[in-house]
Amino acid sequence: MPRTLFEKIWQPHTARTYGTRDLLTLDRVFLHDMTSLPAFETLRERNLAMADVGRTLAVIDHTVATAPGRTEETYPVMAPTVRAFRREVTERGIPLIGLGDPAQGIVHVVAAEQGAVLPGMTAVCGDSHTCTNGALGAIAFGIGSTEIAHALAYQALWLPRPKSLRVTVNGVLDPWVSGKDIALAIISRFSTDGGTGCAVEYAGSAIRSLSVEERMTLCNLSIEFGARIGLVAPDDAVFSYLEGRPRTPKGAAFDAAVSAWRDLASDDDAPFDKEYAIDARSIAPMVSWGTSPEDAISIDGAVPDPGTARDRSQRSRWERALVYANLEAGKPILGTPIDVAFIGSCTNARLSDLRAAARVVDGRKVAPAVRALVVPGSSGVKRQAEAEGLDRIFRKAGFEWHESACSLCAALGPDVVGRGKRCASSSNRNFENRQGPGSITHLMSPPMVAAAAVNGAITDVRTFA
Amino acid sequence: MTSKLTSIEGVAVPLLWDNVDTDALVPAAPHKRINGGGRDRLREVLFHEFRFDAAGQLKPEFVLNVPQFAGGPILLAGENFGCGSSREVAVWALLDYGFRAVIAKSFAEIFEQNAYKNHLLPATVDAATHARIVGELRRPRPPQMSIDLVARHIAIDDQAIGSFSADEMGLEMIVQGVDEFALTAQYVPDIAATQRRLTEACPWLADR
Repeated sequence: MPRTLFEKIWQPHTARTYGTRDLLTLDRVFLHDMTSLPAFETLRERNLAMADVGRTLAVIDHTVATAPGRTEETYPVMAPTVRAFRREVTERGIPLIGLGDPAQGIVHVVAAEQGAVLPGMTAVCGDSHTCTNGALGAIAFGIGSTEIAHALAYQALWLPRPKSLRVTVNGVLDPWVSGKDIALAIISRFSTDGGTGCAVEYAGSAIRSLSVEERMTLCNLSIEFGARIGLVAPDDAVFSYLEGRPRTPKGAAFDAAVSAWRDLASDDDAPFDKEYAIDARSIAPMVSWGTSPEDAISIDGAVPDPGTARDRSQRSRWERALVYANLEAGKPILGTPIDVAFIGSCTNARLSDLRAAARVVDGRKVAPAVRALVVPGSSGVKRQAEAEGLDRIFRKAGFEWHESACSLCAALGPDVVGRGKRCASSSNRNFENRQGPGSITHLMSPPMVAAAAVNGAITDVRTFA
Repeated sequence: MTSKLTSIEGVAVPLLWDNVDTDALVPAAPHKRINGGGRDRLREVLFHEFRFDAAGQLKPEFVLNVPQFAGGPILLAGENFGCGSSREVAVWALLDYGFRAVIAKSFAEIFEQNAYKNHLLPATVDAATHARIVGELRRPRPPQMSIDLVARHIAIDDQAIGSFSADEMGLEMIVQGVDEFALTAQYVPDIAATQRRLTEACPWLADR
């Protein structure tokens, strides 16, 4: 019986079935400072022990400051939470990558860098962007705090069995079109709940041509497509990405793993519940205009007119989004002035993202009225970028160069955009107030953010660079 | 969380937007201000940016601030309710405010699972049922809605409106007042056997 990639991982991890739900065993549970404390409370209330501390890893990233020299105490509002989190994971013997640790960073970036997620694994974390590491050919997904408690207690979760959806992107991409643009194109075309209830497999020649880091960006945005799980079949690019990482098998064990991982692909005639396709050549650099990730258009497009909405509820949502974003229907998005430029987040702050943005910035200056900042995805990314001199390029242009954490993506630490301010952002969500009260977000790729920072306005990186 | 729940009755509060996201439900800024305050303070921050203006004054036009809907235990939403983050505070805040059910055309997945685990009913209705409910709510005095969790039926002023769908196991947990922790405890040997089998075939799954 031909099987999909998803089924090849899900089925052997299923311990029991109950109606439409499967009891899925978990290979890894990642924890961070924002959502874990209630899970520990649940364990205490129920007098439950952790099943397998060796399969856990904790990272501090969500609620901390990113200014140079920051510590757990720099942001007093959340410092008690961070302290309590560190104390509890330490007492429980959970390996912790905290501030000051050379491996610290955003949990999903760190998990991949450490080789803590491998092809064929099931991995969970109390963060919806856990789907990022589906790029390595794993089933990785975000869970709530009660689910964290259950995962820690039993190393398993009851889950509705997802439907399978394949999104195929064939063709050659424009050099300025990245994983971010593909994701925004998919979400804008098939809507922000187009993948709800599905495990999404991204396939096709354009997907195979993406670097592993770009696949991470693409899979990261699966949740913005409604899907808890997004994945790509692992290939040689993934295997060489993983080789030699701290938690990756070594020597003969690695070779044995790779030969097993080669089977992790959907069989040719495997049936999918749903199939979508996009022509790679039809995708231009994308930018969001409104307050949902589906509100994204080509950079040379116009802000849509609510009169052209598909139905009344979309029309009223667009009308509210236009008011919130302070934009006029029918006007080009190009040239919209910005106040803040943010390169960061688990979506787009890996080394290749910083390199691509630095190439655009090199020898130029950030527009005078713009606050621009780079918040590397991990401390490792930051060090490597510094070794390559990228920090000097950014600083010379007028960018701030920060320590690694979630920062302006979710405004859970001290970094906020400001009321009524407009941010060109490499992050993942453009919801109202997402980047702080009254913030207006335009999602785009890191090179597009870089171009916007220099011009002080939303810019087409293809003609700018 | 141990009592059975077979029906929910009261006023339905219509917030008919699509894609109500978790940052709308619990925005970060006010949530950080009550950090450490516990789940019983989350009612203060639910829909904070919509309930209050920048000066902290109530916005009278927002539906939760309309007196006739005050205290209603049922929230009526549009499509894709609860999209965005996995943060369970979105569910806890609705419960703390007094909601026991959300009726929507569809839910975001993580929110829906979090809702079941806290016995907040996520009831999915088809477009026709949704339209009928919206029509009934246009009366001058908000009608009484009742949700029968066992029969999966919705009625307004004792008149049947339609049925809703819900995940079988999730609904059962709400109706019986139980959760899956006790259920899973029975299957610990199955989990262990599955892990053993996986580790034999793929040792790297357990390596660390």
